[in-house]
Amino acid sequence: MSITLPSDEKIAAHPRVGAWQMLKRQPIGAQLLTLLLAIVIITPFLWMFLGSFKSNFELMQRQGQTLWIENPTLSNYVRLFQEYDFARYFLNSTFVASVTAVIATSISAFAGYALARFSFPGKGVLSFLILLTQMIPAIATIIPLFIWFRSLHLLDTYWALIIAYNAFSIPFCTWLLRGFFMEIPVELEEAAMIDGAGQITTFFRVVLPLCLPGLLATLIFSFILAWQEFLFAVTFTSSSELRTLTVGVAAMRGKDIVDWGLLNAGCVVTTIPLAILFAFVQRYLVKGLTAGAVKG
Amino acid sequence: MTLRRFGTAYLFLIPAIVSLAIVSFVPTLQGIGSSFQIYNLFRPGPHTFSGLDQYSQMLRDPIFARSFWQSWYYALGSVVCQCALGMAAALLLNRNIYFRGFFRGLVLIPWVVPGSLAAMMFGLLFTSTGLVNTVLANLGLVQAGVIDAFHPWLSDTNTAMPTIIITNTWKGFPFFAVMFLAALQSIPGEYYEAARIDGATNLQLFRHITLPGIAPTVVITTLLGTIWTFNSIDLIYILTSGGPYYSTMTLAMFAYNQGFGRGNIGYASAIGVVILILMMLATVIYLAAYRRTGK
Repeated sequence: MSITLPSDEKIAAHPRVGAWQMLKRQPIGAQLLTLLLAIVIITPFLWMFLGSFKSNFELMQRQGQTLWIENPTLSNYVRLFQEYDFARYFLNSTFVASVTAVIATSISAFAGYALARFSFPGKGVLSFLILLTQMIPAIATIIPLFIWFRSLHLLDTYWALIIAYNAFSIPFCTWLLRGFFMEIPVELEEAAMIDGAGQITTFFRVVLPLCLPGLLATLIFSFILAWQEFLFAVTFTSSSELRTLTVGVAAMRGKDIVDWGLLNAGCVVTTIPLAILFAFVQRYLVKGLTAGAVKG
Repeated sequence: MTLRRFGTAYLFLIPAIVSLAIVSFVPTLQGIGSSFQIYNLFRPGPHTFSGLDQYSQMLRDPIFARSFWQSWYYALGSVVCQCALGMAAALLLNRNIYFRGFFRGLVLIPWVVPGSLAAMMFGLLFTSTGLVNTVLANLGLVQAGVIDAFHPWLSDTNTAMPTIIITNTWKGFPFFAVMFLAALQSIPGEYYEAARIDGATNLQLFRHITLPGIAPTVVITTLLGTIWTFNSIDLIYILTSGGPYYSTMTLAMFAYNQGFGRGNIGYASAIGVVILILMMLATVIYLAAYRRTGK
């Protein structure tokens, strides 16, 4: 592998990223360290992928497993699809996360716009309250919610999850969308109002269409947050037909005898839709990740 | 621009405020109420008012004390490791390396992985016949007596918590990396050029330009990470459920076990109130730090 030093002209052309390039003493070292980091990230995936093709006998060798597969087998996957309905778990996760994302984004679009553009008495208190809900520990709300859902017969339904997920989705989406709305030039709204449009018409006809990329990013983000959730899902559902993917993969561990082959295969099957999703939404991630720390 | 009429603003905020009241504020207040009651989930009947009994019981409970300190061990241990690894990753990804775009994308992957899947994958790495023990055995560390053969990392009281912290570090460092990278990119390159001309060394550049440039982000990110980790429960729930012998029990896990394991809602709520108070304090510090950074 040959590594050439970047020329000085190249650095001058990119003054912003160029800051650390000036310390280009050990470019090979940096490249190797980055590679090491990549290995750290990938190793868990690689290990479960290899393990999913090993027999249980091989996985439990007391002499230690071989790093490579001795006798490749598909039996883990066959058992997995016989014993667990992963397609169902996948659909459950997708359904709950999609509905949550649509509800949370719609509700938050109004709130985010109000916080971005309007000035009114109590604005400080209301923004603080919305921010505060992000800091309320799930353990403080999960017990009362459980009791409510039990008395309303909502336990073990999709609704319990969708309702509970709004607790963390709405504050997050509100703050994210507030940032997107603030980026829209205010002159466009003023022009619409001079032409006689009311505040609500302006919001629906001018602001929302302009903010479509922001709305899409928010939808994707709240979808991922809901998709990752585990605690509410494992607490509010009990039947296996309602398991989400995160609960389904963890449930494989709960049996008397740990079936390691099955576990490996289950992890692989859980990762595949995630990898596909990741490939599509990767470019939206950084925006939402940094906004998660609450601009304001 | 400020629109003068308030009506629309309140109208727009109503759906969000009402929803949050239902799923967040009212349950929280109800939880505070239950903490003053003897209330068992599995036993029907009226709940008796018990005043501060459950709080004094808590103060005498050795497992509560243990969970309290272990929560800090878990939260601070994770955040320190995430911060260090995130910083290293950000510094590397900000340099002119090959395939930088690819690596920047790759770093996000652990963040997208759900906690439960990360827990399962690390369970596979650290099980007695897992990758870690296989590699250590092949390196001859077992023969040399550094570790025992097939050390059960998650079933040993000394190594269970460090193993969970390692898992959480892998899962959580991308957030730190992305935040730090954004902060690094906002430092104007001219600062470095000027300092170079004045003959500053690499160490001086880092100490006097890079560090002050990213310090506010480090403070904010660390505080936020601590709050999230303190509240988080999924990794511990899946990997150890607080065991072995309470060695990975945190306050959140303890409250969950009391509430849903034993049905002891009153006591669980009292623990929840303690977590809530701690988080409110952390939030106040967070907001104060946020204001000071002037962002």
